[in-house]
Amino acid sequence: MALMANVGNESLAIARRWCKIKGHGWSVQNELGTGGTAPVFEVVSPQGIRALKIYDVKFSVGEKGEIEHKRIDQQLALKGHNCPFLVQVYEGARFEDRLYLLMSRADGKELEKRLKDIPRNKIRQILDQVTRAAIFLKSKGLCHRDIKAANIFISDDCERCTLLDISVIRNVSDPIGVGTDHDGQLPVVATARYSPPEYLFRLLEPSAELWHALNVYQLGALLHDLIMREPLFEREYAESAENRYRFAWVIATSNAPLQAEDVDRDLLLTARLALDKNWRRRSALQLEDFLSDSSVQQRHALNAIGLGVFRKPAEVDDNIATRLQRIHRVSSTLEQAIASHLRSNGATTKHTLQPGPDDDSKTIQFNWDAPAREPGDASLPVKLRIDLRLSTDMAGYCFGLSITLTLESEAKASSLDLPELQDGPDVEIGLLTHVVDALEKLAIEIIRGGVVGMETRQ
Amino acid sequence: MTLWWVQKEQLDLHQIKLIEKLPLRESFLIIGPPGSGKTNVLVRRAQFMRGQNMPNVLLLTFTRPLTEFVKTGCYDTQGKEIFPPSCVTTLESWQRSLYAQHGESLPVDPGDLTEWKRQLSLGAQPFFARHHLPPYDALFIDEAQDLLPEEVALISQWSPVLFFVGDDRQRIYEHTDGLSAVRGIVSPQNERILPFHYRIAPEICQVADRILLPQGVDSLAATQHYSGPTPARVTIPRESLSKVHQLQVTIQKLNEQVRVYGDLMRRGDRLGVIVARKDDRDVVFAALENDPALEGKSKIIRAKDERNDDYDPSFDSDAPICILTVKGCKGLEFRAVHWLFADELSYYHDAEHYYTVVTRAKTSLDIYHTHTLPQILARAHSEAGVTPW
Repeated sequence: MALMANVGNESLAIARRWCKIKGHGWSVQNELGTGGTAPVFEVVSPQGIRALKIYDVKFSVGEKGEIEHKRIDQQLALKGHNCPFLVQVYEGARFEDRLYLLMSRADGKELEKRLKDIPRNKIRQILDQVTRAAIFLKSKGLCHRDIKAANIFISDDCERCTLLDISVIRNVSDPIGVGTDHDGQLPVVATARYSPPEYLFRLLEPSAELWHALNVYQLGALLHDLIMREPLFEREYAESAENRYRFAWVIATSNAPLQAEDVDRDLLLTARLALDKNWRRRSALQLEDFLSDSSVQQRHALNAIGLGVFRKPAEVDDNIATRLQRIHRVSSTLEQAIASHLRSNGATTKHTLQPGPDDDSKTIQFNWDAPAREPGDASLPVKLRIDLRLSTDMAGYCFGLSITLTLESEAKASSLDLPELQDGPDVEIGLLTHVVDALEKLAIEIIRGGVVGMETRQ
Repeated sequence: MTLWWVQKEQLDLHQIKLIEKLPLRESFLIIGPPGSGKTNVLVRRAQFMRGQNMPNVLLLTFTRPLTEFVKTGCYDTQGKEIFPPSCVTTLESWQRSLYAQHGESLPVDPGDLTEWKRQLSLGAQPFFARHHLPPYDALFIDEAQDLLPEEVALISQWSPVLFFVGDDRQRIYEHTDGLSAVRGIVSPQNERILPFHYRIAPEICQVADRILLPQGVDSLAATQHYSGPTPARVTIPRESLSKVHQLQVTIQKLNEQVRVYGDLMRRGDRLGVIVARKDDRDVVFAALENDPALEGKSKIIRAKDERNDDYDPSFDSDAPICILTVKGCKGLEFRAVHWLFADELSYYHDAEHYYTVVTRAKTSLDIYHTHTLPQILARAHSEAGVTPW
């Protein structure tokens, strides 16, 4: 029995006691490593070799313990499954003061450790097997959330992969999740590395689309690792150990190099499409696109030379008509809302909606006369102008707004640029609030003595 | 939301100015778009004048349904009289009463409506000089754009103070250019504009604005301050439908609208079904009577009844669906308008006719055609949200 020097002796002792309780034929054989929250032991059983994970004390008791126990139960829901490429779970519960999980002992070693010597002609098969595991999980309404080379075991002959560490899985339709986010903290740099931007920055609510986009990205990252023979963002990762913000920036903005002469072109294309920062576009890929079916392969090959590529309707930002109608709809509703607000405050306005300098922008203008301050004085013409712009970011449409208030007869004006608002069902309310708040600031500014041409930016 | 503004706070500054702040002894012309409160201003101004020791006033409208409509504005929500309804009358009734009071018989009806009106006014010209009846303290006239010069001349004899309201975009009777005639007797400084309007939803304003743009004044869309149910709907299908089919679709929609706008209708709102030909009014009426849910709920509103004084043109709250012709709908307003067989008589329809029908609708507008959609309507509206592919 060769044991690693840094094995918690306590965990080992517990593992041995657990085997003893199990009975004859059960014994601890080896230590396989530490799986994030716990050491894992290779264990002999009457049915064959198994892996026994003994959770750390801090993850076994109290609130964290509750969470982990729920996660174990979630994994046990997959007990007895028939997917050959996903780790099997046999048993999981509390033993003494610890939680444990008994799994199959995957063949071989971590793919991450073998990236440099995987034969090129095995890449497709490896991807195919891991994808099948992901598809299987999806069919059960689950998403692994942490597919990466470090969580995949590959047999010594490279013929068989096993996807491990299904402790992070998340039910696709469960908005809260079973405590898998560790109290909503962002993932540490190690997991962040394989997270797409919209997931890392939690830009979207959990939904089937989010999980799909995540799966696609992670399979793309896996393909990248296999092709480039090193983990994604390896250099940046090494440099950013102390600065997670810098690393986050890299994930959000830089495209990993993806070049190889000895790999099929369609694999390169798939990897590039799958690593798209734009989650909507990326989601046009299906999990089936990663399988090595010859028909899939053929389609990819044709796609690679520009044949058979059809726009999918899901590509919202390529749908120009929808985008233009959206800005029109939002700007007319906003025009109504502001006119109504001004009227309820005593100003009945002339209001117009005009196209802006380009098709993605609109100008809304309001004119009214403020009553004279002294009797006998002329009334004061006031002009309010709103410039609305629609643009697209990672999460979809967003609206930018700038506001200008002018008193032409007194040669005074002031204006503000406001932060962008994400599009949504009630974005008009948000925009109206922006305008109403800004109006106060602008009025103060202008009464204090704004000058035409002087712009107050905030 | 009542059809009439009864509290001062509900009026805007422009309206209040016209009611209270104009000199009492001068004549004025008020121009305003549909829904700007012109008729309301007229009634309120008349009331104001009566309160200034000028009780000898009359309010003259264009058609009997309009008279009935204005009469509904003569009481406030407590039922208190704002203006005596008996002082609201059609121009024609007033002229006939002049004949009667001067012991003269009416001229012979030449058969043509415009000619008849002309004859009626010309025939009454000599009466004032007889000094049998005193002049009025003031006369208030609605829909001034449809007056004949002879009618304007007659009116100007009978009072030194004239208050005209009108809309230069709604002239729908031939050979009339009432506003030119009125401008001949009202000085340019006494012409006022009501800039804003409150009745018509923005979607409908946009359709109207594509038909006619008020000269020198802002578009309907820029000056609307609609506060009714949203979203408003404009439906002008591209495909032609058979008359029977149009009736079916309309009956379905009317049923829905009776339900959806039920509350508003209890407070005075009505639904309008408009056709070009008089005969088609009967066709529509028959079809609506045939529908079990709509039976008894509709009524034909005749603008000019063939001098049948038994005819009651008043609006019936039990029959909120009004069936009228294009010419007969002027001045009225409906929560929803259905214009059927809209291509009938299109040869005779000007932009002003289309504009007038469209602006009768407050919240919902449906226009159907039997053969070809008139170009003016095709250019005035397209369905939003239609993608080209």
